[in-house]
Amino acid sequence: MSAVYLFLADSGLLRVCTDVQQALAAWQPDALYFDAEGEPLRRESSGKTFLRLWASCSSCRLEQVLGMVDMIEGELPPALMQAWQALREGRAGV
Amino acid sequence: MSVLFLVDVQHAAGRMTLAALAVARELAPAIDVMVCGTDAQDAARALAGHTGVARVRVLDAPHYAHGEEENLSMVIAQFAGAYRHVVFAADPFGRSLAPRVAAMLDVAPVTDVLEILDAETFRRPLCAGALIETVRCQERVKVLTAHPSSHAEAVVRAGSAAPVEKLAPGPDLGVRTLISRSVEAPSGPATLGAAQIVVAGGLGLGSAEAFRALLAPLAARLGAALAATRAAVDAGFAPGAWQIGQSGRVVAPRLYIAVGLSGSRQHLAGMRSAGCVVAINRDPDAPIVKLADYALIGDLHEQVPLFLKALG
Repeated sequence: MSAVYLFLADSGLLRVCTDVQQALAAWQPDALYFDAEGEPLRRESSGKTFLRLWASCSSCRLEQVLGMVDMIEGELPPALMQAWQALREGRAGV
Repeated sequence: MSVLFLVDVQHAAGRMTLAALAVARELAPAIDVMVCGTDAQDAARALAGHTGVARVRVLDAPHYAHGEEENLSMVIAQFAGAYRHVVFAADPFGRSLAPRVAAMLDVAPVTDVLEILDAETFRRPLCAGALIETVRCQERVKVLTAHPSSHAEAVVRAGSAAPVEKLAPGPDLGVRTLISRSVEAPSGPATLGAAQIVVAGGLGLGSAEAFRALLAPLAARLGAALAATRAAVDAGFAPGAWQIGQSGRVVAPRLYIAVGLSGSRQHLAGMRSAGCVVAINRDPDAPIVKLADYALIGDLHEQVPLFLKALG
């Protein structure tokens, strides 16, 4: 199973979920989902609830919301973690 | 002149275009407008009468008749390089041309601008409007597509009109040939693009018959255009041309009446700029109810006739 990233805009929390079911269980109205590659996912309900690639929003990637992340729950891949830390240092330096 | 605003002649008099023109004017008190299309002289003269328009430049040729981006982008880019800002409305014309012109100028465009903070700082949506980011664009030419605000209106000035200048059109590259074109009838007393009032229905209406029976009289009474969510379109309640949202049309009417629709993020992306939102919904926790200025909570089959009756 690939990781799914769940970003909660109101709290600035980025949660690393181990699979889709865990990500869906953590849904909140302000939740945004991204797959392991950082592509946006769209939550759909038709009989059952599932996530699918959000093609019409494909330019909105995980990297673009990193600057809005205040807390991380779970373990980010090293490259993403470095990018987040660099953004935080940039914000702190402003 | 520092700002160029691009207009498709087919929508030159539309509310969306004129509202986007007003947004462009936030960048400079006087701007150039370029009208593109066929038989563009009348539209050019009308635009020349608007406040803040310093000059209207016209690209008029038969091979611009259907907004052919391949023919237009090169010639627009040649003129655009002389400006600091090149602004399109965030409509199909602008969305198609802005990235092409930006690529030819070797600059990155800023799309779907919601707010201009200063000459190089803009607010724009991410993820269908779930997030709003503030971006600084330091390109030598800033190519923007702007969402019209429902509060921004271009104003026709009294007195003399701006000069109109006819430009030499570029060549017909022959890349595209139009085979056929069909235009759907307006979705009510007003067309969606021009409507000051929009009545939109969702899956909650239950059937195509209920959609028409409940919403058409309301639209007729208010002089409104009818619209629908993607789910309602997919269910066959309304034609695709009526769809509002991320994969449909973007509107910015003064009044948006949302009936039996929950307000998914994708739908809100298409109507977020409406001036006043009225929701008729049985779910008080629906996102559209939270966004709405006024909400009628209850069964829409009862509430809509009551609403219509109250209008007299």
